[in-house]
Amino acid sequence: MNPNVRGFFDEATATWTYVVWADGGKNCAVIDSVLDYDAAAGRTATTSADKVIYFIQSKGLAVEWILETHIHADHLTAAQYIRQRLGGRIGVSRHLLDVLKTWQPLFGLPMDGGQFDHFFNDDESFSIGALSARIIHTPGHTPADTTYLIGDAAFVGDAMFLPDVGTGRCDFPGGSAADSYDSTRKLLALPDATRLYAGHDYPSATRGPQCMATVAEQKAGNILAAAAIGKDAFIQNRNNSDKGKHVPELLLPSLQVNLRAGVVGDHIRIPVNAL
Amino acid sequence: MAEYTVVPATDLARIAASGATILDVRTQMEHDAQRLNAPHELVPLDQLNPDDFMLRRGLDAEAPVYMLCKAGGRARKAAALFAAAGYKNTYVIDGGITACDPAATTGAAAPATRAKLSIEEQVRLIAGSAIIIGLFLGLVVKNVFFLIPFLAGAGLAYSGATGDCRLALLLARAPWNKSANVSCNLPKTPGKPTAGGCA
Repeated sequence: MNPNVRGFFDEATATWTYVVWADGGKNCAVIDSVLDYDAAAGRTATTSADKVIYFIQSKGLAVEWILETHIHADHLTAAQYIRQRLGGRIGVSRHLLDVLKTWQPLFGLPMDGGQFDHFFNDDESFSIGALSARIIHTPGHTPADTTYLIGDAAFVGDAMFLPDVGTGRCDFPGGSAADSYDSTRKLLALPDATRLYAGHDYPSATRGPQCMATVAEQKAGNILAAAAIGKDAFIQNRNNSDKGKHVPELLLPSLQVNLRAGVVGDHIRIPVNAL
Repeated sequence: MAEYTVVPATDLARIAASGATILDVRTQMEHDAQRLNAPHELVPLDQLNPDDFMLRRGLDAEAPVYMLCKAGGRARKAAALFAAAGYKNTYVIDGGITACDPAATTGAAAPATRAKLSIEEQVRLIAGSAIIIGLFLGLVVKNVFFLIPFLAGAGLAYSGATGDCRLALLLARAPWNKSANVSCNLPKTPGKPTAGGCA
């Protein structure tokens, strides 16, 4: 069975959030939600998340899953907020537990993954109402990057972006261009008609934000990872592209919040000269 | 069963505020000259594929889409196209951008106090003046000057009959009639990332 998909684009962080549900079904999954955050003021807002909630309520859907494709470094997740408002289980890859080991010392906060409801194993199958879904481990951007394959739609997070944008950066601790290449091959091995839904879009001035390209389109035209591009060339291009890149503006707030499934607390810790 | 719903242009502020998708189906050139101030998509009608449009923007089959064109004709065609493809919540903004509150648009045709005459008005001014002056000179100076009002009259009759006006074409080339697209031609920057995105 193939899913209905509704995307919500957050302009501030260029993030795509998705609601996924079966035709005529009641249960839905929310993928990569956004908690608005004004770092300068230390202020959160639920404007983006409320649009998603309003949509879910207007459709009469019940949230079964709140899924994260990875621990985002560019925006805070609204997973906790959405769970408080609508219920559901917050799911993430089991590889999160490795990622925690990398980052927990930086923040000096208690982090044991306890805020998550479910850790998915690689290739684990699960369901969203009548929809069948499967995990594909697609590391590279981060070690825990996960693609959720739901019918003929795959939610790939930052593993691949639109063909004219390329793929996610691999210069974060634990990132690997080699792994990223292998992950793109896994995705391009899916049926040609499979729709790959990206976690971000960074469109040029000639087009508006889009969320999806098919496997066939990615094979033919992804500027970094098209089928014709070999591993060495990909690694070289990826690493060159990542050289000297700025740290995402919200990296420190995002990681510490997202590693706790969206729990913000009273303070955000900014470790100085630690990255 | 209506394929699509027509809504008045006065609803535009409400539609834009609701975050619904507004799809302008005019050409790039028309869009550059005058466009909505509110966020919207632009896909010229001849390039429009409903499934493509909806899927790539993460819009499910029931997501409302409001079609906009110059006066409403192309918007109706676009809406019919979407309805035929199975999209049920398609709307047409009646009267198109022409019917929109000028304050809601931006571009060269954007509101400004009318500082100059249109080309049509310039033609009439020149032809009318030529007739008066030619008649006066013919009566007071020499009969040959009656040629001027004769030619002006012939030109007016000709352009009225054929829709072709040489004087208008000539005037269009004049520097004061060149359109100075003063709009800042805002590029589409939705999705402008924060410093250091993930790509």
